Amino acid sequence: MKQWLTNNFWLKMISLILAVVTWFYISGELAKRPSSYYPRPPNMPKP
Amino acid sequence: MISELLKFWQPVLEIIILWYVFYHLLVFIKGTPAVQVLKGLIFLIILFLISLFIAQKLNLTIISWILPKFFAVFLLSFLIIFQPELRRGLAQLGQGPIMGLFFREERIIDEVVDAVYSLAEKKIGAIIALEREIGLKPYIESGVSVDSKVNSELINTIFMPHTPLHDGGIVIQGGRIIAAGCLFPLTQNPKISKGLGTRHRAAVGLTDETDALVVIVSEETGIVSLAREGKLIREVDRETLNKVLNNALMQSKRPKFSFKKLTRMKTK
Repeated sequence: MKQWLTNNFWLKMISLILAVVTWFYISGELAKRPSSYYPRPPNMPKP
Repeated sequence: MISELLKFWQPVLEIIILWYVFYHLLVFIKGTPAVQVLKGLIFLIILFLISLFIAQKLNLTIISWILPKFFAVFLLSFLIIFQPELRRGLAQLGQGPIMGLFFREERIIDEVVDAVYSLAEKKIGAIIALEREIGLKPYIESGVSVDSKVNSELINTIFMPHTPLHDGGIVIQGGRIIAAGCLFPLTQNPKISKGLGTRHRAAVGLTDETDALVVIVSEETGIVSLAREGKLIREVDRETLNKVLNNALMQSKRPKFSFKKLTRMKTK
């Protein structure tokens, strides 16, 4: 386990930072959008 | 507490998946010219993000509209710039653990058999141990680390006389030549013929202690022998060697080749 962690440690850390940043960025972008899970009622005006 | 934690399983799983993809991408391009290009790209991405932030803060609507469009084109250019790496990556995927699972062991066996009979033809002594369930770590440590793909030419080169590694044995572990010049324990079995040399004794010695399969090429006669479970089979032909290695290493569903039967057949 320790060997697995220390092997390419910095690459693992950079990947983790990239993964967290990407996740937060995309989730932030998705939060801006209106939800596509529920269809808009036909009479409702477009946002 | 646990139910609170379980609420976050989706983001955690998504971050783990993203981490895995990023990590393998970085490992893949590490040490290639693509690293320099990637550094340039990261610089441009940072520049883009800063510009976008400033444009939005200063309410520069046209610039704020243009920048994301440029970014989309930029992503397309990523595919073009990294085209050789992407091609190489897809090729590696084809040879990787999923696709390669079915063909790798067979290829390894073919390489070993080719090397063995090429060495036998030239009467060059060789000893090749193939690790199975029991690890060969202590013997690997006695040699020189190689960690290379199994390749007939490489095996031939290792056993070339007057080269530093030709006297020891090579160990094949997990489909790779892990070490060369390894020292194996000599057998104490009195039944082993006195006429056999150290190489054969070492092969039997290793199979006395482990479940490894050892292929030996005699330096004097060029005869190929096979050691397994503390027994030595002399004059193994190409087809038999292929069959035994296939059965032992591929663990296929085919009926198992009986080593005892082969022993009986040879001793008759």
